[in-house]
This record gives sequence, structure tokens and C-alpha cells, in this order.
Amino acid sequence: MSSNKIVLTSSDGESFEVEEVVARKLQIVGHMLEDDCVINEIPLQNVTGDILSMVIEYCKTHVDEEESEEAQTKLKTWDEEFMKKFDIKTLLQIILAANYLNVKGLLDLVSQTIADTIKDYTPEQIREVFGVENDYTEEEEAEVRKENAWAFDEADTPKP
Amino acid sequence: MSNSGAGEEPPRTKKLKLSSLPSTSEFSSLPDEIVLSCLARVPRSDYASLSLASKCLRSIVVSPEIYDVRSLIGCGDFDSKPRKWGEVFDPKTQTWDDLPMPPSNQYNLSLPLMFESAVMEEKGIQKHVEIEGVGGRILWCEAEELDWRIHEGMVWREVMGLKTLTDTLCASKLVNYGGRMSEHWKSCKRKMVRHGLTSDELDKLLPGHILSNSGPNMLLFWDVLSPKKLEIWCAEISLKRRKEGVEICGKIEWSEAVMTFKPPPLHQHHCKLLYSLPHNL
Repeated sequence: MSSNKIVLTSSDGESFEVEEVVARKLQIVGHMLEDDCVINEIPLQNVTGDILSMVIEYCKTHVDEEESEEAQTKLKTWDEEFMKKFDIKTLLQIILAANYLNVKGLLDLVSQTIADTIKDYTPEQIREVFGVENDYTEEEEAEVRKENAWAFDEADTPKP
Repeated sequence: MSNSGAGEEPPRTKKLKLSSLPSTSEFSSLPDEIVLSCLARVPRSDYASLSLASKCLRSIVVSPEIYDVRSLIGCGDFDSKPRKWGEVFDPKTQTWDDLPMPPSNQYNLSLPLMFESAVMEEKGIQKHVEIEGVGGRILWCEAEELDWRIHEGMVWREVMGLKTLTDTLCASKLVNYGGRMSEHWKSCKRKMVRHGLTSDELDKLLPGHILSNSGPNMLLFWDVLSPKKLEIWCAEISLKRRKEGVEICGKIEWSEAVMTFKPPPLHQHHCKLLYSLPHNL
């Protein structure tokens, strides 16, 4: 039963043959399998092959989550190493995929990684990462800065 | 409700097609729940930088939703950091701060056993936070002290003159039992049983009342359950400072049953008072 294989196909036509237990880690797939158990090929329209392969790698590693402390520590270390491979832009794509495919563990992991990455960023760096414009007028910016004055040390205040 | 569907827009979908993602990731194209999931995990001290980055980011950082997500995630570290049991919004700094541990109760558990709070304004200047405590007690502290007393522990004092309410509040079980409270309760339960409490005692600790503001006064809701009916009661309580501010005295202005269910609803544990809005008639 566990040897049942499922083929997942990405939006750009790349196919991945995985064991059913791994595919079920993608909740979107799990639901499809419950509806009709004879499916063995599933097209995933919203994910490209390179991102899907990362998600599958995560699911394969997390396929049997053991309760033991040792296993948990090992998984945690693996998670950390796994996340180190990606820049923030890839992380944003992985988190979108994790959301679409409904892989909760990966969603949480990437959320935390993104939070850790941006936590010491200046407003300028944050804008760059998220691709947002500074839409404050000078007066508004001064106002928000005043509002948040408690958080800015002298040294942190960017020079005009 | 109007049912003319003439000018109806097609439902907008929030889900984004990955294949249509531009090579540079656009923050604005991320679904709300993902943005919240990320930003809620950023330490609060960095919310200032986020606020300054753009208007949109600022609106997320000050939203009630981010607080919800934060408390959901916070559930996980409940066991390891029992001192961080709640947060309070400071309108001055526009941020959420940790709420210091409430005084321990007779069971001496290091668990948060206060569930309802409201910030009351006094003459438009001074504010203090009212917290409704375990065992039907109503406690208060100075809002200004929340900042600098965070490490040494807050001084919580009991609101005087409300002894008559204590037993009634203790008996009330249903009003505030719904939603997340019951989930939270489940997660606490195992730990509390390990502390040697029986389920009877657990019931005594369970809050069944809710606290709200009505102008300068405080509104308190609770329920009274009998075999034949379930009543939701409300009391308006005015607060006065006494003894040069070191004591606050509560006076019940009025109290009455505001709602009666006859017979009581079948799923009593799903009763929850969601909202109260004062009206002057």
C-alpha cells in the first residue's frame, strides 16, 4: 500500500513521482485523493517545477514525524540547513507554494525564516525586500517616526 | 438586505497564481494571511522599522489581526515562557506590550487565570487597566505603571465594594466559554491536572464572564443557568478612586437579566457573548 506512487506535475510541465504518503503531506493532494482514490497523476497549476521540488524535498524529510526528542532535534537542524539554501525572493515563492499546496509545517517554517531575516532591517531594506515604495510624504514620515521614536536610538536614525 | 444582483462584481479571489509571479517578488501580491504569518513572527521592537517602510505595512502592524496571529503562535511557547501571558496595546507607542503576570491565586499556579480586561479612561488623562480575575475577583492596576514595572511585576489591587458579585461570577460558566477560550482551556488542562487539581476545581477556575466599557463605567456580563432557563445578566459598575488614589471602589449602578433562553440552548458550551455596544437612549 505504501509503495503506491503518485505523479505530481508542475505548471511548467515537470513531473515528480513520489510515494503516496509523501504526496499526502500536501493537503491539497490529500483532499483530492479522498475524493477519488484512483488518481495517480495530479497537475499542480500554480507551482513551477523548481519550487515544487523544494516542497517535495521538505515533505520527504518530514514524512514520518517521530515524537522522540532526538528525532525532533534532527529535523530542526535539517530545517535550519534547508532554509539557509534560499534567498528571500525564493523564500517568498516557497511560502506561496506552501500556502497553495497547504503544507502547514513548511508555511510556518518559512514564515519564521522570513521574520528572522527581516527583523533587523532598516525601513529601506524592508522596502527593497518586499518591493514596496515609500508612500509617505515628508510630514507623514516625520509623524510616524515621532510615533515610533521610542524604538529608534540616535545611532539608528538614518541621515537625511 | 437588498437582493438586487444587478451591479454585483464577480467574487475576487485572493489566491495568486505562482506562474504569474514576476521575477522580483511583490509584497503587495502576497495573500494577506501569508503577510500576517510572517510579520507576526517579527519581534515587536522591529515594528517601528516596518511602520516606516510603507503605509500598507504600517496598517498591518497596527491591525488587530496581527495580534490574533501572534497570540495563536504564542500558544506554542506557553509552557516554556509562563511569564508572557498577555499583551496590551499602548496607544502612545502604537505597539503591543507584554502584560506582567497577574498575582498568583490560591492554587499557586504560574498560569494566566485572568481572561478579560479593559482600559478605562479617567478624566481623559489618566488611564488604568481593569482586569477581571480568577475566582470572581475584579482587579486593577495603573496603565502608566505597565511600562516600568514590567520586570518587577505589577501591583494589582482588588476593586473594593463588589463582594456581592464574587459568588455570582464564580458560578457563571457559559458566556465566555466559546471559541478560542475552550481551545486554550484544553491545552491548559493537562498541565493543571498534573498540579493535582480535580475537574471540579478546574470548573471553579474557568471564567464565565466578560468585561467591557461603557463610557467611564465598566460593563460586566455573566450567565445564570438553571434547569429551565439560561439568563444572561449585565451590570454597570461605576468606579471611584478613594484614599488619594490607592483604592478603587466599585458601585453597581444597575444589574438585570438582559437576555433569557427558555429552555437553555442545547450546546451551552458554544454560547459566547461576542460584543457589546453602549447606546444612550
